[in-house]
Amino acid sequence: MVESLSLILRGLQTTVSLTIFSLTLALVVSFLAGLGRLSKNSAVRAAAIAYIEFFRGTSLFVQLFWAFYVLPFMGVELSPMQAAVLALGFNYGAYGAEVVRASINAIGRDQWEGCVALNLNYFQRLRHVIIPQAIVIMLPPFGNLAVTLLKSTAIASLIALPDLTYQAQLVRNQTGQTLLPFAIIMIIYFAISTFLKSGIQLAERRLGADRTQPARSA
Amino acid sequence: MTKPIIRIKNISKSFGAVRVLDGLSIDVMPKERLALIGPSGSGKTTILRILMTLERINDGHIEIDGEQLCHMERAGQLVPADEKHLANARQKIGMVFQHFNLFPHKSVIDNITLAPILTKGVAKPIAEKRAMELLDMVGLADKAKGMPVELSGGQKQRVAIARALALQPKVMLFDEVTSALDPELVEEVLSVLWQLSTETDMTMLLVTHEMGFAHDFAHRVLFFDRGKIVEEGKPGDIFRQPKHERTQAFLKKILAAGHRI
Amino acid sequence: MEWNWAFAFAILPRLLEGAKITIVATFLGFLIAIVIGLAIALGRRSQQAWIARSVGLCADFIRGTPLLVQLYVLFFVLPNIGIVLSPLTAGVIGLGLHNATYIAEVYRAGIESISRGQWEASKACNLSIGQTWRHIIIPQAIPPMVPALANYLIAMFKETPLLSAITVYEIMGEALGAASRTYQYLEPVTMVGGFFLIISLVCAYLARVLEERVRIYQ
Repeated sequence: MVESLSLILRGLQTTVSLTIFSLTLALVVSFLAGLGRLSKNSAVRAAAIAYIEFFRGTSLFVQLFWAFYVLPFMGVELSPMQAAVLALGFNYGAYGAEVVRASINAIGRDQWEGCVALNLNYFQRLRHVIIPQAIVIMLPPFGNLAVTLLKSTAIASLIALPDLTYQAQLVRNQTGQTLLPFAIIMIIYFAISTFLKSGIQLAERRLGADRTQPARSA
Repeated sequence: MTKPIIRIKNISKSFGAVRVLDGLSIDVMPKERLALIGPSGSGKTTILRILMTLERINDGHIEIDGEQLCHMERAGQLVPADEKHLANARQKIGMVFQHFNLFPHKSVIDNITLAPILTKGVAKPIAEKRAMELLDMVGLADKAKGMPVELSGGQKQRVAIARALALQPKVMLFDEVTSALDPELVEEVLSVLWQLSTETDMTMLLVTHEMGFAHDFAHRVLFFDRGKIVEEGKPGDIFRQPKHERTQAFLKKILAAGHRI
Repeated sequence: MEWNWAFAFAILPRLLEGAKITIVATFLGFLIAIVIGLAIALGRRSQQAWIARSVGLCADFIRGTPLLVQLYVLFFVLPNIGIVLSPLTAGVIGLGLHNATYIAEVYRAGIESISRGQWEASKACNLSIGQTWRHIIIPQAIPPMVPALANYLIAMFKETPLLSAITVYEIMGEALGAASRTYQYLEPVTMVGGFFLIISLVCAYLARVLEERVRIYQ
């Protein structure tokens, strides 16, 4: 029992690392591809669209197996962790890019025109005016994506990454118990997703409050 | 001596901590036309919504045509009405809303025939014949097959009036029926109301900010403020010689905003 | 590494067999999802507080844990209490149940998109609750739901490869089977990716057309 638990706890560590790494990669890729999708340069736009459609269209599962089993034949040898981070990061980056694009599009023309009137350059407009407002819109869908990503990390167990799910299978094979290991990891997954969700909600409240509260007088 | 068709006895209504109606009593006689005026939030719309059973009261009793509206008798005692009792009571009342609330997925004529067919079992051809008469009355016979989205606000509201009339209620409630309309569309709706007042002898309750129309239309005007009737009387008296200072202040503000009396 | 056309053609028939299973599993799962999703949506609206709360909690739990683990529970744990499901049955139930919790939200949003005025006008017209649902609410709530439901159908389609983890021989299962027999991963995994990409792109196009239709209708 104690041994089973310690196996599962080690799995938890792997799941958390995998989640954090892939979330980070996904976030970076989301902004790159999302802004690329809105670029005035048609080559950049086409590349972003191709990336988004490709990764949303081919199924995460296939991407993971491709990264792990096919890339080595092309001379790119990846550990299970590296393959999983790449597949998850790029897959969710494609979904995140659509969130970024939609949120930036949701900011009214008047804000862009205001920036032009103030003679801000493109980067300044995004950095100081558009993105700070778009972030508030992005948060809820990003939160949903983060929870979905966490759940998707379980498939990394299929390329032998010793995450929660893999370790639970290990316990099942070693002890013959089925309900207990799966029940434990389900509760752990549920706890992490609840934690992620409430974190996002907290951020929503913070940012939302900033926007609605009157500025403090000096 | 005729009995009142509506008896509102000492009703109160709160939304959370806010008391919108406070021990209110009104008697309305058959064929009477009543105008309810007052600042927004004074509780006048709430009265109509209570009569339509869209809101429940916290205290008091209401009788429509001699029968309890929000209560029913059970074992010699009055208990809150169940859905069946409410459905029965609703037959006597029709309501026209500020925002029309037409059913957008139904054609104009289907909007009107839906309830008679479903709730009264009227045969479709008969319901449609009656609906056409009503559409003719509100001047929209040519729009019968159209969809609500194709109509102007004034036309929508005229269809909504026809829809309410199709159920042949004894009492009609008009809740700020011109407030959501562009100014040039107000007249066509008011003229339908005017026509109703001259051609029928239905009991009507009108919540409005159109003081000029209220003056000509109503037999009696009630001025509301903060959930109570502050002043009531004949339109001529209320509009020309308001006694209460709150009535005076309200009418002054309305006039300053450009409304005619 | 070279693409081996002969091998690709050799495995094509098996992959197509698998593709059939993939499509069957998707549609059966979707059927379960829209039915159970409705039950969840109605349960959450129940007047009985305890029903609403327990249905809500169960749905949140299913939504907060990985589909893969749920499949393992259906496939490995249920036999302990005497319920033995075939791999495909377990897979379809898992897929359907998991997505039902999302589809319930689609129903909720659809119902809540109907303004209060419609309920009030129905009351003023003296329609019963049943008549109000049947003639007023549902006919208006369904058209805006259609694009969202179509998106979940596509998402479920891309999730079906997970079923290979409980030995369902859908397209990914067939591909991995062929790959492990020959140690040639490039062709089978790439072909599965191509299969998903083509169907996803076609579906995304159809969904866009559908969405426009719905918008015109409204």
